[in-house]
Amino acid sequence: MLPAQAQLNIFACEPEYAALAKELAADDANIFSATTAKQDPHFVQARPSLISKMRRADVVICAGADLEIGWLPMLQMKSNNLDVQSTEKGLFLASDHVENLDIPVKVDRSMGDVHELGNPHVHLDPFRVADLATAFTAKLVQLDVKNSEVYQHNLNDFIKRWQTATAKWQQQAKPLKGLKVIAYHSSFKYMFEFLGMQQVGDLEPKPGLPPTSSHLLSVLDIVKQQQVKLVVYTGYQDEKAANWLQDKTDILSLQLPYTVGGNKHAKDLFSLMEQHISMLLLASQKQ
Amino acid sequence: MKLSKLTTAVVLGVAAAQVNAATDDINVSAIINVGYTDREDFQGIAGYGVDDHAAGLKNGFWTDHTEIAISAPIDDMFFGKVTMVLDEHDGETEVELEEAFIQTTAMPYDLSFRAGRFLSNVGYLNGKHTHTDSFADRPLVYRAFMNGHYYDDGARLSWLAPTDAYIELGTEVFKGATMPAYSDGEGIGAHSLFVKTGGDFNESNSWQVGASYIGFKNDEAHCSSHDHGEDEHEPHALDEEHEEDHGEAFGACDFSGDKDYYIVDATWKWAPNGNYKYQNFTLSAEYFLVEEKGELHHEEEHEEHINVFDEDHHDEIDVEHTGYYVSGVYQFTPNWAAGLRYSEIDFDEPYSDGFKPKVSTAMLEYRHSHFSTIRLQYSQDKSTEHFTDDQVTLQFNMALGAHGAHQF
Repeated sequence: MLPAQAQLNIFACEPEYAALAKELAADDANIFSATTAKQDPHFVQARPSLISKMRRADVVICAGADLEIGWLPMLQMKSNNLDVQSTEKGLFLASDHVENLDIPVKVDRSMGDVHELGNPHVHLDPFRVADLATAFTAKLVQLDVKNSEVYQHNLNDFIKRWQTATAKWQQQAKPLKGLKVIAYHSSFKYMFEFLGMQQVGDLEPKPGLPPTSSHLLSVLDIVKQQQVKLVVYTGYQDEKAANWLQDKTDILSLQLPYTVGGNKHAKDLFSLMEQHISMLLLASQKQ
Repeated sequence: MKLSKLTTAVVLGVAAAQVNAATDDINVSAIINVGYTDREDFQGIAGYGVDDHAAGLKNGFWTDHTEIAISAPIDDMFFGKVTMVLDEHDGETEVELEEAFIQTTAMPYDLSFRAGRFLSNVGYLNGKHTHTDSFADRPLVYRAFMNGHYYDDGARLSWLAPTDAYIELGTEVFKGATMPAYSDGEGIGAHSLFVKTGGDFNESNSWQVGASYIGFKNDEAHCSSHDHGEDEHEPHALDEEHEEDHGEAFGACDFSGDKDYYIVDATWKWAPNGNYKYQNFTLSAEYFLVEEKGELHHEEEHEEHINVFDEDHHDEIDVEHTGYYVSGVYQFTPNWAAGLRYSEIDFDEPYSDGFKPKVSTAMLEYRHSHFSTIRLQYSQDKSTEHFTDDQVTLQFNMALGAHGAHQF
């Protein structure tokens, strides 16, 4: 247990979880994000600076479902920090606390870099984010009981604002229902589910493999056959494939923020979702 | 009929789920490392005493360093790993136990303890598995001084300083039973000290530097090596005429005494905005200073009447060698990377009298996914005087099973 007055050190694997921690932790918590919106969380190096950050962490909050498998286990091993080794203590994996999409019936590598535990990009569905907020608050209370009232108060406040916003987003997003879209990777699956959109193609031939020209030709067929109007990707993904598709057809290529910091307006979880919806609405109206 | 099929499916499904639950935390992986190399036979590295592992890749088809690794948390206190490596020597496949260690995951005071058989953490490359290297073989300086990589039975204690900057201190003790160590096997035959630090210059640039010491107490009476040919330390017929000007060739076991290594290493990695997927560059270098103090065994030919016989001699030596490598690897698309490496050693007498062995290497690799690499490598190898070997290698390096996390 933490000594009285101690600040909680929170290590977030991705910016969206740093933002969630910011909503829920006490004011004096130190929150650090290991990655930025410009970095693909699949391909992060177990850098010396991250080892020393993790050494001091009381809580580590990550997406889980093997998204960070190439670096998180190395940081845990090298940080010698007994508090963040298991989910029984200070480790919190978001995908453990919500129902995951895309859980394969069978996994083998011929399918690409598929996650056995399902799609780890869970932070783009507001309903799941509400569940994550509740679960993460329980973790904060477990680790820092004396501040439990603060955490409970923060959670209630967040949930109230989040539910109001969620209802508003559902209203705003009505025109997006049924909208067909091509995306890069399965990064936006949870948001498409929330918005009732349909991802009919992927720029990646298989998860984790970069777009190839033969695969893009098959995506081109999908675009033509299904009259797809929109292709989306994010800041850490190469824009070339989406732009190629835009040049070949009348599809619109759109870079979405994906996470907090992904563009200058996406400053927290609320403005991130607002950005996504308004950008998608604007793009769909252009067509 | 339908119902019974359904029941079978459900039962199978449940059984599969149980197996999953039981093996969830166990990582099983195999590295298949195969290839083809075109080169001349290994002639040694100047006159230095080296084991067969120092030869690098073999001529023709090879399945070198194909490995199987199993690792898992043992409980909330320990993590364990076992790695078996297949290696070929003189046409025979040998199974080597490269790692079998336990490591604490939850020791207080920022300490961590490892015991068993493991790769020493000195230098930059030594603690890494060769399949994570960017080249098909280890740099010349590693082959000559570390026998490729040094692993042994022992224990390690490391400590992460409670500072904002990353500073790791560690010490290891080993039995001294595997090359380049050959001690009497009773007690501690090798010990090391290392310090590593590193950080980020900014979002795109990160660095790490290290300084290490490792000392071996070697005794030729306890040495068993994969020596490259029994009569290697006698002059080759081919070499005889050059005997005068390039010193004598010694065997891997000819030295007895203290061997002390001082190693400094530095690594810099760059990726635009820290996003390593599309482009990144790694520059790394290591410098070795090796001191040998002890006795060097050699045989001298004597003629008495009509008999010719070899007489064993032991000469006192106190010598100092230096060596280094520099390598740069640029990944320019998610699929393609290219790299250059140069390694050179300056041996003291009597291993060499002025000749500096050197190897220049270039490689181009294609990674279809995170798990498969096809690499084409060319080396201009000047390991021995009066002879330059152009070595070309095509390597297939692929990983099955668990996706291991990599060190910086």
